[in-house]
Amino acid sequence: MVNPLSLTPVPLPKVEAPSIDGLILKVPAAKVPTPDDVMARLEEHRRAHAVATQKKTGDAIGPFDEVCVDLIGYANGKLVPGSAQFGLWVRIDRPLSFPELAAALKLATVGDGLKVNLTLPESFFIPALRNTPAVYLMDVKEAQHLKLPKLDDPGFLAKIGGAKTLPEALNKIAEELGAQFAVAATFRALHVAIESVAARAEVQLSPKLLQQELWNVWREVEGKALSEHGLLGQEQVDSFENWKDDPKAVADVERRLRNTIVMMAVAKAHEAELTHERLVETAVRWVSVLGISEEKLAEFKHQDDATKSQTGALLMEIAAAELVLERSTLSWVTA
Amino acid sequence: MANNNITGARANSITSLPVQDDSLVAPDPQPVVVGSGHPGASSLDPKSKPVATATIAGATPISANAVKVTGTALTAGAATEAARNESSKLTTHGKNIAGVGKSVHGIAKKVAGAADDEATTTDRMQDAAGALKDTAKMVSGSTKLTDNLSAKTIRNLKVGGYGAGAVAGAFNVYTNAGELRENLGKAFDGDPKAIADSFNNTAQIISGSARVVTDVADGAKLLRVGGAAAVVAGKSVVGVALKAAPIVGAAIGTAKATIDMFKDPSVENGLKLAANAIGLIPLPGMSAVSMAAAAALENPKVMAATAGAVRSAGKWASGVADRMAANAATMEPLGLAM
Repeated sequence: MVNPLSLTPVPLPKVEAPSIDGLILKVPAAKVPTPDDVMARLEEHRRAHAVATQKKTGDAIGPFDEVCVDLIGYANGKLVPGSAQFGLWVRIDRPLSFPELAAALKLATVGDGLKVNLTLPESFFIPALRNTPAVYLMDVKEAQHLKLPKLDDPGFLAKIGGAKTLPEALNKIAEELGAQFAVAATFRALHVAIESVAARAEVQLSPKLLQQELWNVWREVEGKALSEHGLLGQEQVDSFENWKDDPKAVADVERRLRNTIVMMAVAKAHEAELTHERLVETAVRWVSVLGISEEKLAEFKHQDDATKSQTGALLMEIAAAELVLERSTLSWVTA
Repeated sequence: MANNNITGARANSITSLPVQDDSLVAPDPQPVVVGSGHPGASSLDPKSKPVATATIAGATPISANAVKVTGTALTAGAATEAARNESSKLTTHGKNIAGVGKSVHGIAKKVAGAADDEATTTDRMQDAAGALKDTAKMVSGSTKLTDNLSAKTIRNLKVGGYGAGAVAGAFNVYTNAGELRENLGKAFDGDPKAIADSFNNTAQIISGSARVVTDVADGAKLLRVGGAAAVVAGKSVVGVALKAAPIVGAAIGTAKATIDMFKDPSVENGLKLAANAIGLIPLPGMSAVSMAAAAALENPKVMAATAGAVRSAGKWASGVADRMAANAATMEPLGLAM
């Protein structure tokens, strides 16, 4: 198999920027927080502020514990894609896709090494591996028992936006969710705008370029972890081959490449509109939305020129996406 | 995230289907083939050198499909090789082909485990039930939580543009999010001038301009929000946004390496996350960094972190830094391996 990294980086294709005018976009409106959303977030807050007791080697796993495992699986004599999970935390009280793993974990103790036979479920994301028997190895690395705070604990409530009562805390959470959903809707709008303008462009993506990008994704998501745990050679060949055979992974990489190349072209074509002031304005807005701290801002000042330049290029693409959205006719669609 | 989404599929590979506790089913005892290593070795610890691949008759079944190999722990080489070989012999009808045994120990363990669990569960469930009861009381006996949301909250939510046609312009959501924050509290306490200064160099690099930005009034407006302590953490905002965005598949285990990005994102990482969320590749060849970050959101630990927790995530992230450093050394073999 050819290692894409051993080749000269594949140049991006030249693309003529399409028109960004006249786009009519329909975007799902922001979700209104439901009571279930609020209660789920309240539970997250409780777990976040729980008192954790670290279990010792040999301690049994409890029904509400959080457990850290290393995991790897094989089917048909090959690594199961996505199965190599290292330092994975799971909640025992939550359902797992693989009930065999859940059953094994419930009866395990901290420090156990387990071998679990299971059948990959009907819903498994690689169709060829559905209903296929597999062998998983699982190490139980550590576990924590959590004691959740009482809902009327003033100290806990105060951590939710300074609330003094539970109803007040619930209001704060609803507000928090509302703001998040609003921003998420904006992200969706930008995404739709980018996809729409990209659909107008003629982009030829070479197989080499696609493979290179797929390799980049695989390397970050799975390859590094495999290397780190001494799983080299054939393990990695199998792993990457599985990624190449995953049509959804390939399609996503292709879509993102196309979007990015087109937005780079749009940014170049509209360079005059993407002024210094506008870019700074965009930066200020996104820094706020992203919740970037002043300390991180200060650090950024001292970044090397390469990082600043790369970040600037990214900012340019985002600003171009905003420009596309500005020029579009946008309507929010409620479910 | 829907499980038909590839991210969901990968990231939720063991977290989405209902549990079927089959620990009650204990099949007949048979020897189990696993890799053997020296005692105490971890199955996936690269420092644990494989001793041999062997048939271990004494492995302890703990459920219908699982074998505990404590004391003869798996090692990366032997165990993975054994598992690989074993999996190649399985057929679609061979769910229990490894022949995990029905053992007295397994049953005893199950009973003992159940007893322990029951005690703990009862205790915890009483706690949970009490808490929920309290909740019910404290929301004024209403069956609808929303009844107890303040009118101000509802008004703000409407201002947030959730209704059809509520937002006419591209940036109104930002503005409205800002208005929400105005009522919520100060989401970001930054000095607009400082932000502008931070980006000034970047902007110069982009545009070639040497001008110093002095007027960022439009952006500053969004930041001039008053009120009490922040409820809305930017990290949460990013998290929700990323969860809502289509993202390519990623594995949780690797993804946790990016927890720091959510806890306290740097400028460059924050923008990468944003770019990923809106369907771009942050930079050609760097896409996976943010994709992995997105997948991390599926992890309860990260969700806790994005909700404002630092307790567990902090510890988790600290180990990640070491791992990432180690990765630098392993990248070369990774490349050569292909």
